[in-house]
Amino acid sequence: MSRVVALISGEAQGEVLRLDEPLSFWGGVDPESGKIIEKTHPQYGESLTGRILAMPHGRGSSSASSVLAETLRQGHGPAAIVLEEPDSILLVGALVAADLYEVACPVVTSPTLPATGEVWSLSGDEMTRMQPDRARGPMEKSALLADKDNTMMGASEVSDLFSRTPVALYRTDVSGNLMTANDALATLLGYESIEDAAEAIDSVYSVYVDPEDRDRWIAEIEREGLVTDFDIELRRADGSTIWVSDTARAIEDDSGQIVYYEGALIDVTEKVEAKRARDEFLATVSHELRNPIAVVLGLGQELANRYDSFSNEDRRDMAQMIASQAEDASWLIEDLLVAYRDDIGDVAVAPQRFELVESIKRVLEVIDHDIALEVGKGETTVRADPRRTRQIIRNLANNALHYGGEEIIVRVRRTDANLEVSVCDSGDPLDPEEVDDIFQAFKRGSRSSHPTSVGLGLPVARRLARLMGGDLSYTHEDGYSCFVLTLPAA
Amino acid sequence: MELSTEEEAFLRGEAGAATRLAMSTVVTVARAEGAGRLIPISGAHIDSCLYHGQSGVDFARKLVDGGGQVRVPTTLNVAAIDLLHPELFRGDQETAEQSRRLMDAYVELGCQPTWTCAPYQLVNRPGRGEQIAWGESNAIVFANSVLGARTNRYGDFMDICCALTGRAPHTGLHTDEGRLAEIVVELSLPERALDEDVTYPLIGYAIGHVAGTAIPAILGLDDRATEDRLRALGAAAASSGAVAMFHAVGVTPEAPDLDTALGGRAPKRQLHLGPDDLRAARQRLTGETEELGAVSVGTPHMSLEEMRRLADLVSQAGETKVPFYVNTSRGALEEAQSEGIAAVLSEFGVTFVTDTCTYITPIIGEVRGAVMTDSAKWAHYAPANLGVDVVFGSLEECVVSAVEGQLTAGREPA
Repeated sequence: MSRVVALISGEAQGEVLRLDEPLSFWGGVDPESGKIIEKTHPQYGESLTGRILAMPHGRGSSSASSVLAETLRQGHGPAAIVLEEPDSILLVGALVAADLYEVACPVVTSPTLPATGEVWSLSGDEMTRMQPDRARGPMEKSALLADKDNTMMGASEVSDLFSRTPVALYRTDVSGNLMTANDALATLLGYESIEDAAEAIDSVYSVYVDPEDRDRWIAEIEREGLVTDFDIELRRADGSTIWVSDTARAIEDDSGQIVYYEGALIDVTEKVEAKRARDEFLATVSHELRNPIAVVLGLGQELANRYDSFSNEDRRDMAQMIASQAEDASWLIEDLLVAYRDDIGDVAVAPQRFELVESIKRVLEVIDHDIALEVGKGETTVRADPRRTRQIIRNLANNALHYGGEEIIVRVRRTDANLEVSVCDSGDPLDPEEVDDIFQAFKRGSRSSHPTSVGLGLPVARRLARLMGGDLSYTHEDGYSCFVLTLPAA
Repeated sequence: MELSTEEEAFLRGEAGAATRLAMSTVVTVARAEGAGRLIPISGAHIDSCLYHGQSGVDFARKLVDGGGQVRVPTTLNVAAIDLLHPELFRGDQETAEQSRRLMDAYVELGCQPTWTCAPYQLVNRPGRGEQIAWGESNAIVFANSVLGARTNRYGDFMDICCALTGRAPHTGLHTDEGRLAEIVVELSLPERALDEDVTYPLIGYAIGHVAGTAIPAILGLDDRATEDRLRALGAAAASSGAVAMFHAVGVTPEAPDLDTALGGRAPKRQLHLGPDDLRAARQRLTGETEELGAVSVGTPHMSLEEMRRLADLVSQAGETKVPFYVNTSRGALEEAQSEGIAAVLSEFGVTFVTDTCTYITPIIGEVRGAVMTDSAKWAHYAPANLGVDVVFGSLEECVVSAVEGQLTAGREPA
């Protein structure tokens, strides 16, 4: 503790910025940022905001009071000012800011000035140096890990808290080597124990899915001293990935060198994926609905404005076109509802007996492509929702049309208890690895030649098929790619 | 601290809210400075009328609303707007309006609308031993050193508080002891260097760096150090340091000899200043830019004598190829007009700026290239204030460069 003379008494605490040369606030400090803007000053670019400003004396123009008051008014002023000699120009600036805006900035004189980087607390005529956060140097990984039950923070309760807390905590050295971590971190990354994790993880770089994220993380923590809610995709022990939100800080030694980082990770995979799903949903809706709606709008306006200039035949064609585009849109909305309903039970299916082949014919009639229909022996009555069945067939036919080969055949075949509808095309077979993906919402196969479609058709078709007690699968036989719909026979 | 009955009454608010606020500020500062009492002053010069932001307007309005009126003759420093040539202002409308409000408020408080940073060029300048409260660093150092009047460095807000109370803390430069030299600076310069105007601001700039707040006694100046040269020296020293007074031994009124200047005490430090120091000062004041964009002279405000000299320099020179600004007071400009000098300067292409100064307010605008100046003060503050690069040179070099449209000098040391 040291005694100071309080010219304006008050309380403040902050990191010290000690100037190598006196500073004129006027022309030397920007009130809108609190930064030193006098280019010839050794501390050019440093920020005064919230710091204890230490300097031998003020300097230069008598406008410094205004600039100090203005800097304080805008919330960018120093926390306090420590001078070797009283400076009434700065004193008055601080007095006026206190009188007009109730912003406190104590001003004191002291025979010795504190050094840059030290943290001091000022109260009245006493100034106390706060104990610096004594940084520990990097340690042997094994020693620290073995030591984890004992203490790395001191008291054993703190140690318990560290090891048992469900939040993943870690400490790494500057090159990214894991120095210590708790069990929650091991679990998060899919390891049995923290020892396993330490064994497997050489450097945190190796768990980053995108190493550039790590570079951005380092850039930010070096600049700010900490990172908050920094989203990173990490690779787990089994190769799967998770999204975590990282909040960490850099620990520096007395000379300002970073010695290690410590932080906490929270699993935000669900949040990140939900956000991605929402973004994709919006993209889908806008991409898929825009075309049919544009056609309906254009033709409708054309008919309304220039009705008499069209022949009856033209009008009928246009009306049909409007109807078919509107139907596309309405089917699409059905698909969207099925795909995005969180609770599948909410999707209405009303099973009844109906003639499957007739339904298929109705769908194929309105598709503008030659599609062969081959029907095998036996009864073709099913128990299902006819409208949903048409939705499935339509999706399968459109999928073949957009992504498949030139030749398309629909085969209907009776098995023991089911009816199978295979929609086959002459295109290249799907890569086996792609087969699962293609039934996931929003993934399209490599056969895609239709860049704007987001591929709802197949996942929706499978979902509906299963909802009606059937299924949808993929197979390749005799040079054809086939999507096979099974529905229970009536 | 001892206060008179009247001062006590001011502090209790018996002379109104503005006087109470002003008195309480004066007393707080007096206590901080360890003054035993307040002294009456005979005049004040206010720097607070230059707009630096909302806080200045808020404070002035608070004083006006509190019924404030100055108790001594009070002059006003430069403001942000040239009221005689308002079209020169290139800043935003809001700043212009706020500046006007601030200027109006100070006139409402009873100050004279002089709008100059050179109040010592006005007719009623203070004499030796007179107690005053002045703002504006170049005016303060000039009043103390050259006029022998007594003022501390009064900053914004404090200057008007002294004017409203007619009081100042009895401390520092108001006292006999506070005016004694603390350090000695001995000049070792080539004899002819003192014939050049440009030498003086460089001496001042170099001294400011080494003196800090100390009062220097300068050895080695003689009667070639005219008032204008001394004020260039003082303005520079007050920019690079917090110099509020200097003694030029054998030249200024309180320093007939070194012993008197020191008051018989030994100096804390004794320094030598040679050509190398001036060269270093000059380099520090000059940036990297190779092209000439504009010229600005007259900081502090050009005296009539300096305008005469400038008129001599330009009368045979033709016309300036770049914008050429002369900052001066309305009073000096009026005299220059009646002497016909203003016409000569206008013919050369000079733009006159009064009431304000080109380094504190947006007048120069975008320039392609550096701005050349003969003022160390201008060169010191303009890079940060205006974002321009500066070349420091003599008035002659400024004129030659302006005529050629390029930097023909200014890079070599004096």
